[in-house]
Amino acid sequence: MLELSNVEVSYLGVIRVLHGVSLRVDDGQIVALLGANGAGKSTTLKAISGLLRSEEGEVTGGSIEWRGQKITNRNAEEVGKLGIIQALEGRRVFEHLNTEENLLVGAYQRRDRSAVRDDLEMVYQYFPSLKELRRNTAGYLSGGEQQMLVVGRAIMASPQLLMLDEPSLGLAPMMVEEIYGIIRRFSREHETSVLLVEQNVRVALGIADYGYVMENGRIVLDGSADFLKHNEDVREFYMGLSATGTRKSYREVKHYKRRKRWL
Amino acid sequence: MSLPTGIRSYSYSQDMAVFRTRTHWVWLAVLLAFLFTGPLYWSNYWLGVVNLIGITVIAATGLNILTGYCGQLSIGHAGFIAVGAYTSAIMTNRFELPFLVGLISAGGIAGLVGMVFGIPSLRVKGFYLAISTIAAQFIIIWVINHWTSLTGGFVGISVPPASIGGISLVSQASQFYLIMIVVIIVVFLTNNLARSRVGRAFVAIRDNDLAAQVMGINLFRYKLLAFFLGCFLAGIAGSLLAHWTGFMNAENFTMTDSILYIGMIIIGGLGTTIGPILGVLFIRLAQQGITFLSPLLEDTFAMPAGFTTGLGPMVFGLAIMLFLILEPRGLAHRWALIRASYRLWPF
Amino acid sequence: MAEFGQFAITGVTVGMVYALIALGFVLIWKSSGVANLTLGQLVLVFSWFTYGMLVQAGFPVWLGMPLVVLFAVGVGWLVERIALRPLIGQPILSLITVTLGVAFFIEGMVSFIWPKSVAALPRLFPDEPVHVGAAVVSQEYLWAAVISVVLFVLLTLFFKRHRMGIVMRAVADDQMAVQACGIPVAQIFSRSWMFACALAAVGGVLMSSIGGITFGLVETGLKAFSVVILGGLDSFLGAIVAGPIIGLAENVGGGYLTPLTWPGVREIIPFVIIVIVMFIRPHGLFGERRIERI
Ligand SMILES: Nc1ncnc2c1ncn2[C@@H]1O[C@H](COP(=O)(O)OP(=O)(O)OP(=O)(O)O)[C@@H](O)[C@H]1O
Ligand SMILES: [Mg+2]
Repeated sequence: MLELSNVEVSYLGVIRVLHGVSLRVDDGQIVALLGANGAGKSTTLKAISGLLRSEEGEVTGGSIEWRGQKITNRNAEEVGKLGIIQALEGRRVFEHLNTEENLLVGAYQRRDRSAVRDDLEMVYQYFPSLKELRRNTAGYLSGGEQQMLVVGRAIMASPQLLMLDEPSLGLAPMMVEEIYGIIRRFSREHETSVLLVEQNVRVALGIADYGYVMENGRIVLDGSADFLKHNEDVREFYMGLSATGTRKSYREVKHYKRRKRWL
Repeated sequence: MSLPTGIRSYSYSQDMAVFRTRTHWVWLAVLLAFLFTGPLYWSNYWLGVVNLIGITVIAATGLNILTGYCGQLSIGHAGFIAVGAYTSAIMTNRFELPFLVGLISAGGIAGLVGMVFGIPSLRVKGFYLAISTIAAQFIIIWVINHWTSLTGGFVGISVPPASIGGISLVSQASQFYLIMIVVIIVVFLTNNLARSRVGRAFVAIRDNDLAAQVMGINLFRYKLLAFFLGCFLAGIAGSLLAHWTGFMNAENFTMTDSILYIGMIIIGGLGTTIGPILGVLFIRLAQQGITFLSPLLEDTFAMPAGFTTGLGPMVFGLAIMLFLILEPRGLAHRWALIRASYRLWPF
Repeated sequence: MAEFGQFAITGVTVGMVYALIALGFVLIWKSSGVANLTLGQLVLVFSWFTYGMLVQAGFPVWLGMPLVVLFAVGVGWLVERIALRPLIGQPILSLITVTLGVAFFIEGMVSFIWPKSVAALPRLFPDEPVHVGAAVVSQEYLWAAVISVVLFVLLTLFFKRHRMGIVMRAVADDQMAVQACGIPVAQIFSRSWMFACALAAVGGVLMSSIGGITFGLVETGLKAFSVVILGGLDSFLGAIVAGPIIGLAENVGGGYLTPLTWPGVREIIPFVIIVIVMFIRPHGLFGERRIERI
């Protein structure tokens, strides 16, 4: 179980980005972290995985616990050893390596070679198109294939907690459904917890068990996926749907002016 | 520049002035008075040290224009200084031209040679440029060593003392005035250059040359200009050095010296006017300290024989590393902090 | 013609040693993007250390050489740990100059510990020269060439096949993404420095067993720069091809040009090549052209 309580993060010692974020990911659960651009979602993930440091950020308050162990401000390597793996935002494949090499980098820290080979097969099963492209240079894969590769690479680390930052970025709707299906399947089959950052709220809540909504560095709303799916504010502000479930019309200016309830 | 509170500018020229407050002027006067009466109470030995410091400040300021402002790393500065030194030596010795002609053409020719080796900077940067300046260093020194008919080759060449208007500057004191005047002119002009259109273009190129180009800065012109100016000052320093020592060969201009120059501007603080001065003071005074201390240490602690020669490079290598890691903005930054705390005292 | 053969064979074999040292440079460049300007000084200090082991301490070769490599690995670890690691992510200017600082320091240390300026290593390889056609080559040169080729093959395989080699290439692509996989990037840097130093040690021993230990070894390191510039900074193949080219140019060019120009012309040929490459093909023969965006 991952538990953040009152986490505060500043960059460069002055730019405070998170103002006391608390959230929980139970074992085997898929949790979605939603919010507008710049809300601090990626920052939250980096605070957990220890990647803040290379961006001169720091957790200045609160605590992060993983299965009862404090991991606040640990470096990425130690956190990774505990099985917490983050897939970064924006298709960061290793461009000059081929597909299979990319996947193997994901498994670098593992000592069990035969299991690695099995997992490689498993990833190819999840993403059959990657298998065909195993010898192709990753830099020349299409955007969707690269995104699959990034998810596959994270899976190769055999994570206990998988943190995905906008895995649907720039993908066609079909692809989004597919990737999410696979994430859910993986999570179910391996009882892996997933913390998911996503702009595509509908799809994210489709597979998540629980969700948090972030705004300006704070959690402003949380609840089960079903609750959020039917919450009027989430529907209106993040899914662009009006109360009745039809697409919102901006001609009804009154709606547009309505304040979010949590602000 | 940070000023005390309450200082207002009522015109643009006022805003741009280097010396603003009465305190500035008083300090400047005190400094100049101290400097120019120096020969009265400094021994000949220390005058020599100060002269060397002055010459080095000129060279380091040149490197600072090139590396500190324009971001083009040069590991061949000693080579360019050598070009200036030999130009001046050959002009005055072989062709018996006046010193001032030698001085100016030393700068000019060193600047031109620098520009030639700077041409690759238009296409490459970082490590590539560093390597091509190392190549420049070796090629220059090699030519000097082998073009015996002109340069005296490995043996070296003797240089007549500087003379201006029939007055020959032989003593340390007379050379001191010559060197200090050049130093003051150079520092003053560089300080103003950095604040001008050219200086801003240099800084833009240093921070991101592609972006600078997109903004309409002519990279070709400005990078070459930086090489010319940087090496021009190297040449001036070389000329002064040649006339100051009176005799030289290429051993005075090794790659080690080139690295030392980089060390000076890093320790002093890249891209500041005061930086090269502080850095040169640091290194040259440390060298003095080592010259005094190492025989003592050697005697008292029975150090091995290589102690004296090895200590210098070890100390300077360590200083470069420590400054880069702990205080990358150099002594200039410290200096600014000290000044700020003085101004803000007692807070 | 016989003369030419002699120059050519000496050139190619000595060029292979340059290539070996250059491989160490490429290794560090590929995995961390740091330009290691200490190469020359590293070669120098490892040669002297070999002297210390084999001559001063009188160890036999089978014991001394592993110790030298061990020492080199230790130096590599130390340099990375002390000088490079605090500067991860700093501008390239700092990274280059810090290696210059290290170079300076090592130079001082060498003259501190081994105040003699020249020394000779005991013969590591049999005396009698080998005849290749009309040319005569001493065995050292041949061994040097063979060892270089073997190491080149090993390194290439390592980067293609071994997990760590693959990760080193990944680090060169995207440091942060490697970190996100929970891989200790700093440790990868450290390893590549250790490897590179081991290569410099082997190269240094070969160089100094041929020409003795002098301060000129520093320039051997500099010649390795001309190799990487000509071959391309990030290409092992480039290094292994460019090494013999530099060696050839130096020896053949030196051999034929000396009567025409000044003596000692061969010393300067690698540097002239650097300048020429810089003017016409700055990324070298096999280097990747890096794409830059604002
Ligand atoms: N390295 C950094 N230095 C300074 N500020 C930063 C840094 N990284 C992020 N920020 C700031 O922190 C805030 C939150 O950034 P973050 O990347 O966490 O947003 P996000 O919720 O992931 O947004 P998006 O949905 O657009 O990815 C932003 O205002 C951003 O400008
Ligand atoms: Mg984000």
